[in-house]
Amino acid sequence: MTLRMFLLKPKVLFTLAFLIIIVSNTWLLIAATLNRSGPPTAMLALSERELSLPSAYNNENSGLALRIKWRVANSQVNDYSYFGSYAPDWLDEAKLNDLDVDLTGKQPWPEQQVFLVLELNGKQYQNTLTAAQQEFEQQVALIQADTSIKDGQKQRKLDEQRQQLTRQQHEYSRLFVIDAGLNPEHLLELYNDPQQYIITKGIIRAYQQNRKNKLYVYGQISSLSVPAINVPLEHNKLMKDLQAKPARGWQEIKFPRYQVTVAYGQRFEPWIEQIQAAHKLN
Amino acid sequence: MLDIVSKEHAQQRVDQINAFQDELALLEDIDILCLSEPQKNAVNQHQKELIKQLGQEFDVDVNLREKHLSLGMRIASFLGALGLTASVFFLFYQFWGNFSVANQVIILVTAPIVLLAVTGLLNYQDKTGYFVKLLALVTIACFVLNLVMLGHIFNITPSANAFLVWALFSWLLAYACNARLLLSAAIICFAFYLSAQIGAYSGMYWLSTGERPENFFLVSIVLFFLGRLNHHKYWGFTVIYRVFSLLLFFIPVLVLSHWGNGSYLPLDAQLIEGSYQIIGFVVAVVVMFYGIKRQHNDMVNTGNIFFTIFLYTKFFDWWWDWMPKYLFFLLVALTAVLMLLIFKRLRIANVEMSKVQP
Repeated sequence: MTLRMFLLKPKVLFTLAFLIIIVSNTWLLIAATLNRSGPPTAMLALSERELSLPSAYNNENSGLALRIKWRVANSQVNDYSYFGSYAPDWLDEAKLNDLDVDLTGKQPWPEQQVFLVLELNGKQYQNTLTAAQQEFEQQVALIQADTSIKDGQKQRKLDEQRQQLTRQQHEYSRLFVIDAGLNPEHLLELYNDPQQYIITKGIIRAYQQNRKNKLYVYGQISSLSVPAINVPLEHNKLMKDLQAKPARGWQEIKFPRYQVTVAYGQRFEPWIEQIQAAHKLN
Repeated sequence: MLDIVSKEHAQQRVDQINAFQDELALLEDIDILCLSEPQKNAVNQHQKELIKQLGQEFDVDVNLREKHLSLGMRIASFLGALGLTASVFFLFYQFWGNFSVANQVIILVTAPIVLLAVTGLLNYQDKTGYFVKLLALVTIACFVLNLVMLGHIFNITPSANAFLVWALFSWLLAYACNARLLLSAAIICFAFYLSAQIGAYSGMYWLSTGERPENFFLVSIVLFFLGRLNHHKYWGFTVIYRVFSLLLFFIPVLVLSHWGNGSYLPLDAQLIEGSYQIIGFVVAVVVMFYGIKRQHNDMVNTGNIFFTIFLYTKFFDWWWDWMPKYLFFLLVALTAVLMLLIFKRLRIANVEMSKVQP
């Protein structure tokens, strides 16, 4: 019997298939264990501002994952509330070259996976708050100086501005992506406060734009490689109770209702350590 | 019986016997051929025993009624497999959040193992093959669910390696159960994995592999050579490899013939588009002629389809914007008629050639 004949025997094929199940699951479980072995690379207290509950209660899915909400600072856009794929000022052509992004090929340039640095309640966030405060004061001055609008309308506009400032202070994410690199160990050395910085994998893409008759190359962060964190059974009762409540209206300021202690491990993948209701916090 | 190694071979043999019986009856009716009674009895006896043997060993359809029923069983088996697969997914999604991590892991790991064991046992007993193939498909679905959900539970960074694992698993089951559907699933997973790896070597994120269609060419070549291996025992496997090989060549060429920016080549986009259009036409014609010569209907049909697609997309590019629509569609119809005439001439030439050759 030749080797080919032997390998094509159903018994052998089923045995090999069984081994594939065992080996692949073993590898996955080892990877998860390795991630949680040793000291975590990050351990932070994130609130509902940074980890959002799924908006609609899905009867078909009893599992739960909290979506990570992050922001970037972009001076071209005068809206610091936007979540998602904006282009941070620091992800310019020089940085893209440092990240070995190939800018010689044709556009659209494909996405690449790199290590991102996320900062919680740090300098970027404080700058955003300061800018929001200044914007608020400017808008208030303009509204009050505008004699063409009626008092009722003026009050409404002032309330909108105040609400926007309050959202910046209490609702929008304090997590900002501030840097990227290819070597996570180097990033850990640079950003060595595990209670303030997260190093994790993310996806970026380079673009080219014509601005004032000059070609401008910049990068945009598409997403985090792990954009949501699974909530294990022992932590999800509070989340399920919150999901069961009626959704808060869009005009309502969404003060955070919970705090989540999140850890990132040796493979820069996250897990949840603890969840507490906001009213139980000191 | 020595040459009969699969159900499909056996069915072909039974169909051959039935066709022979019908033709013999016709020839007897018009007094062209009359077998003597001993000869007729010997032939009938031999064929009756052969059909009985094939029926017992391979569960073949001995008449048209059984064939229709078998077709119904195949459709039912396929729908049953799809339904069960979807049910398994949604069942797990419905309840997994109520289990601890340990229980989730146990359920996810044991489900494909148990199903694999049942599939393996049934493989020896189910002569029809329908139940085995149904179970095998559900086993693959469970295994996919296994790895996907473990990735979610432990927040593991997604990777293209999962597709390689699913491809290998599906391949093994495809050959174990002699199932073309499972082979197709394996090829699709393998195609995605290999193209993602090629993309990753060029620096791109693996999920973006579709942005460079040329990533699929190597897969096409690999499948072409896999199709040339001896698949005597596996009915239709060679056709599956060939068709997927051609699809994974022609679809990227079609895309690149309209989107030159998707190419790795450091050339002008319009030049790339024009080149790929020419390549598409030429290779489609070569595939058709090669298929005619080797009597591979699948190659002829695939080449034909893509030649037509290339041609009509060219017509669209040239004429759609300025030509009156009635005239455009008239030209499309006239082109189809022209192609009909060409194929008719080729067919006649093929018949003449087969008369000349002994």
